[in-house]
Amino acid sequence: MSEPMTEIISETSLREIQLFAATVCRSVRPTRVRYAVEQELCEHAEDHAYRLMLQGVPESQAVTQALASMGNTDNLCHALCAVHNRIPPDLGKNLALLALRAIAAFIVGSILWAFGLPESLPITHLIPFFIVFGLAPLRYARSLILRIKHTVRLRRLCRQQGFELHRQASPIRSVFIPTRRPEWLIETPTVTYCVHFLAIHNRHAHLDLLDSFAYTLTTVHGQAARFWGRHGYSIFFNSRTGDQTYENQSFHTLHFPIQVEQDTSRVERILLLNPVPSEIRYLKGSTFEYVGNGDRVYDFTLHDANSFAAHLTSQKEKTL
Amino acid sequence: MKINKELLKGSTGIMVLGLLGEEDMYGYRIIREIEERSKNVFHMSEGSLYPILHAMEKDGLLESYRQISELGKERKYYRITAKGRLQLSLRLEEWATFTEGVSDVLFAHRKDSAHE
Repeated sequence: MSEPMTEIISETSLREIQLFAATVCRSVRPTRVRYAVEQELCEHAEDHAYRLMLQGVPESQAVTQALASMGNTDNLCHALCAVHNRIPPDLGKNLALLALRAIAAFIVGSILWAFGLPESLPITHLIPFFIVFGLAPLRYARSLILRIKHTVRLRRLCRQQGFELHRQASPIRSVFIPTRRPEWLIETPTVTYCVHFLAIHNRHAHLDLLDSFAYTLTTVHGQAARFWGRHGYSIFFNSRTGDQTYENQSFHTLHFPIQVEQDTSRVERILLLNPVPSEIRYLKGSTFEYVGNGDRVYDFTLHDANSFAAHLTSQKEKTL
Repeated sequence: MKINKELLKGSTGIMVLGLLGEEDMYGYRIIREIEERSKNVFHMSEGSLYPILHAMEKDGLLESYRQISELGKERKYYRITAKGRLQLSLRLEEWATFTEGVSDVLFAHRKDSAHE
């Protein structure tokens, strides 16, 4: 019989596996079910890591690969919650929060009325509004302003450099509110850029670059997302091959069509993020690797809005 | 060749039931069997098996128990129930009808040529 796994897998690795399982099961209810599912996921990851180690893979790499093969933690969490939770966890939590906020707004409004503050004062009406909705309206406004600002800047930049700028509307669906964000194609003599704007708010923003063609970005988009659950964004790309434009997107995960790979010599895909996430990680095969901002991953380059302008300018200089 | 995820999604349940119809297994073993028997054609994210197993257990198609595995550690095994066997036979019949229908549509011209 093989050596028992506890003798091979170290405590550190076991803790890493347990942390992964805890992250996946964070929203599973009830608690006894959550512990049982966590245990099952841990056992699975241990078995996989053990098998890899028997094949000669170093322990840390084996554990990383085993965890990577389990899949995206958020998708897995949602799938498990869909099976076990009576009330979707986000919805239940957000409704409770909304109710608390409404009660707080009522109390504050009552106090203001009791003290006889003039109703003509805007603050009297605005305070309860902000208590209920938080800063979400301001964040949405900020996001909109940033997008407009970068769009105007991009237009001016392309006009100055003599590059063609095409705009295409591309639907990006959120949970409840369908949005249409334009995608910009910048044609230069040497390369076509696909540029996509994404305004990220600071809470829980990271960019996962999954396997060959799938990208997921999850972020909580302002306060409003707390009330309506996770507000996922799909990163949408068109790749123009000849006269055809390929589109393929789903809600959380974007899958590229296979033809994209063949077109990488012509199209440089840019993710224009504002701000650039502090953590970018990608799966190459079955290995997690951490990369910094502005690095090239596969055929994607990540820029923030400011550095892209410099990049585009340098491209113009190359063609002269 | 990468298989379309929608196709895989529709067939994972019947594959899991089919495997458990032969023998009780735990999650990791189920994944390995699917990969080996399909000669690595089907390669799913391993964690996604568990929502399927748990949903089937909730529906009464499977039941679970803990047992020492071949590696000497206790694992959660799944066993198909009578209701699961009935569901499996229905879905196998459905699958056979479906694949036959698709083949007939796609390869009808070959059959016609063969007759000629």
